[in-house]
Amino acid sequence: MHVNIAGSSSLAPRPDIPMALDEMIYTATSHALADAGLSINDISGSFMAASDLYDGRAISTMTLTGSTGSFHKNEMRVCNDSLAALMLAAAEIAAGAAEAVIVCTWSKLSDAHRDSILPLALEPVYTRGLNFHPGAILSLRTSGETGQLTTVQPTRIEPCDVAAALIVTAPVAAYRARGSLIGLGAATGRYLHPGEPVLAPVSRAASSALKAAGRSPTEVSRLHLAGLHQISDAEIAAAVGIPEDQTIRPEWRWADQGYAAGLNAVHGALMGEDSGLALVVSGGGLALEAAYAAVVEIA
Amino acid sequence: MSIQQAAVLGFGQTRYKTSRIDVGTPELVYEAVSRALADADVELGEIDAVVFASAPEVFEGVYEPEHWCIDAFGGVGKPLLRVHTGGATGGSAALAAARLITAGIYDTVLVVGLQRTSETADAQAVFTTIFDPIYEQHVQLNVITGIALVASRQMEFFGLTEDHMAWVSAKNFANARRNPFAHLQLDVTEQDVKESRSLAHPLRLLHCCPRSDGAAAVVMTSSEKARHRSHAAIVKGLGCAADVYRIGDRIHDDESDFAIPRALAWAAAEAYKDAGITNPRSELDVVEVYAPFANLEIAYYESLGLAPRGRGIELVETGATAMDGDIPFVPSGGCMASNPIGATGLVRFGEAALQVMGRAGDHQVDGARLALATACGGIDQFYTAAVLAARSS
Repeated sequence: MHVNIAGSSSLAPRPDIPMALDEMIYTATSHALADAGLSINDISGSFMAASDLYDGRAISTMTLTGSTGSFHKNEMRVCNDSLAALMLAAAEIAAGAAEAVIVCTWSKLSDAHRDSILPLALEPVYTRGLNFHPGAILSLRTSGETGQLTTVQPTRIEPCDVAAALIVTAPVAAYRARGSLIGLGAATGRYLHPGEPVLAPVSRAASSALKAAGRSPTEVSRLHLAGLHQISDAEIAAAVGIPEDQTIRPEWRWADQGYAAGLNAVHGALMGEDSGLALVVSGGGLALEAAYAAVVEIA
Repeated sequence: MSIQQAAVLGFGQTRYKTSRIDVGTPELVYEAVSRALADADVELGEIDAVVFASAPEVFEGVYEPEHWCIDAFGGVGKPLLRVHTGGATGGSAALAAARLITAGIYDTVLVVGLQRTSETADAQAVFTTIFDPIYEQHVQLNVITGIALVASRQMEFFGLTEDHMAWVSAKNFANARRNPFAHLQLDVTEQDVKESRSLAHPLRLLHCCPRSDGAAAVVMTSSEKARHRSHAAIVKGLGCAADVYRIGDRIHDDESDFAIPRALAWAAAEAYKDAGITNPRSELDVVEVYAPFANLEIAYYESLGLAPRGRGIELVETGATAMDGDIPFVPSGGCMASNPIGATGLVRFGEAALQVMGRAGDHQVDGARLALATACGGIDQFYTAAVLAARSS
């Protein structure tokens, strides 16, 4: 698989971006189109990653057909990290069903209440009633793996507003190429139960993305981390097989970007000064059980 | 389309009911998935990735329900994506799986659809939140009143009557009685429909779908891998389109009218083009539409290119879409008899696959070789369309 990234844009995470959600998304998508030198008429689909609960409405994308660019076009939305939306966009192009599409993602936690949402991910019959803080699940999982009492530092992950967009195209001369997406991977771990290292899904996602790209970890020049707030760079680097000094965290490490984290990290990789091979990994879920990875060759 | 096509190997579904209180949510998923795997003769180890269709998650009351249910579909260790396009979710999930296969990213994909609306104390409270919160939510428009507006416009635009809607309802409920999985197993006459309780003029109770708990699953692989299987349905064409959100923007322009959903026409045109269909009325053998209201099915006859502009009602008047008509619609009873919302589009897709594989049991359309399945989300806003074909078509 080989598709190009022709343009990208991001509204950097902030506690409260003073825009309506529609305006935030429109800003990201229109700037990404401008960055690609394209107009909405050049696009045949919109691939989104967003959460109803974070948006505060069921089927939140219904009202957003203008800003996401999906009117009269193919529309797809995932409720996973935005690297999953990127995977479906790449599949659309690689399958020959489209030449250029928008991938967009957002999170506007200033309109929501994060601490009310995350406990809803707990199994409702036995576990939710225990009233665990979601962060405790990671601690329990780690304890289960090591057989020792483990305490995860109760770091405050800050709710934020964020939006990002990429323009993904077929690898043809008609479109500029800021970078090439050459490998994608994903893996899912156990839900609540111990039985494998917490970073096993991240490790599997990264290795499958590299395998799809036909590259090895030694060829990666930068490892961009999305989400994975509570885990140290050293642990992630070891799980992925890349030296720690090649890891890049965004300056807003403690910002909860929701599903936007992965796409924003790809944007960060494109905006970096270095050409070469970038590996982007994201981890989400109660105990990082949902992992996605992308290999991007920066032009 | 692309070099290789996707194919359906197997389909499994649960019995649909208002409340499946006999099983927990993961068990409901397991029921459908185990049937699909058995139908496909595929082991879990052969599944490369899973696409999960469930939406809105507020109905289940669990954030990211695919993780909660992961053991029920054997997803641990596998790539997992959850698709959510409102009511069209099941159709979008099938489309996503097909694209992953045709792009060569994964070989064999399990698609799982789930909805458990009974977990919601007040489903209408959830539906109300789909509307614009500043200008529209306080109007308390809901899906039934929204579609009643569509029906009123259809009466003006193409002469829809209560008789037309009653015929569609009676046809679909009769079809549902041949489908052991259908939620509503009603012996309903057209007169019963016309005498049922008015909900929002002109819609009556028996013009409308139920709320159902249920799950469905489809196993898909590449057409190449499907070649040596005992049965398979080939995904010949796919389409998807979204219309503008505001109903007012769709009321009338030069190309369309609110009475006839143009986004379905766009999606179907794309799927027909992929499949090489130029005359759907003569080429399609059976159609499984996602039509939760009787009036919508009639509008779809025109959107799908089966009737000229404003003449969809003629398919009712001639009985063309009955089981013994020339183009049977929803032989399973369709969405009007069972509506597990996030899974419904996948059920339509699976039922269409069963038809062209000749495995639909008592609701099999004789000799069906080319089928269309659709899904719909929002207030007539998002549509997917899929053309499925018997292997040698």
